[in-house]
Amino acid sequence: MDTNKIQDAVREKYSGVSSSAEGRFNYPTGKDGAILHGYDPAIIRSMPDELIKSFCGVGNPFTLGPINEGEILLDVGCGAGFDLIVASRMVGQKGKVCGIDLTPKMAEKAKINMDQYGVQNCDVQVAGAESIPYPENTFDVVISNGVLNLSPLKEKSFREIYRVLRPNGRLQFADIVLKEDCAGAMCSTLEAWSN
Amino acid sequence: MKSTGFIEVEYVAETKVTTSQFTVGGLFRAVKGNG
Repeated sequence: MDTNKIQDAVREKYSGVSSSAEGRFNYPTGKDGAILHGYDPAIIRSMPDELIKSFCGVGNPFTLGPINEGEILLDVGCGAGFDLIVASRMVGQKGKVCGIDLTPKMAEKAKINMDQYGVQNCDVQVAGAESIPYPENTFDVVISNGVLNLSPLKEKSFREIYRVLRPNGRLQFADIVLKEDCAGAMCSTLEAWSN
Repeated sequence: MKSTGFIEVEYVAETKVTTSQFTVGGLFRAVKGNG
């Protein structure tokens, strides 16, 4: 299947999600999803409704290991910025959080949300995981939440994440796992890719 | 993922979501290594 068509379908779907994830996925999203995945209730309460209703993560990458004060973190597919804000509290003023998202509307929303939430040590850019716009050996940790499954070029995406991580850098991500081989037709539609 | 250079690649656990008939959420961890 054509890589550009897959990415166009993903952009179209997530342009809508940038307003709200409600009714667009067959699993809990928004505040319900964040609670389900065990995010800190205090952080959830502190976030504006406009931000949290776009949350459509499939897990909680922060349960996979500590994010330390002063670290530099990249969120691949940052969406509206939910995980970036969680991470910004962990890295503190001495650290930095960066996000990339393939969908321009999402990246724009993340920038607005980070600004409204008062996160200053951040950078958000429009980009896919296949071409990460940062130099090699930049990040202490890379996180991602329900995004890498959307990439039509997964090995290239992992090579890019590897490139931008520092030696001993960690990759912590939540994503979709195939339980069994799915039927060819079901896995080869644009809808299957973008969902 | 290992073919890209990562070490200590680990599928840690399922998450609490089922995303379709064929798919669930999963948690993964990997390290770049020092080499």
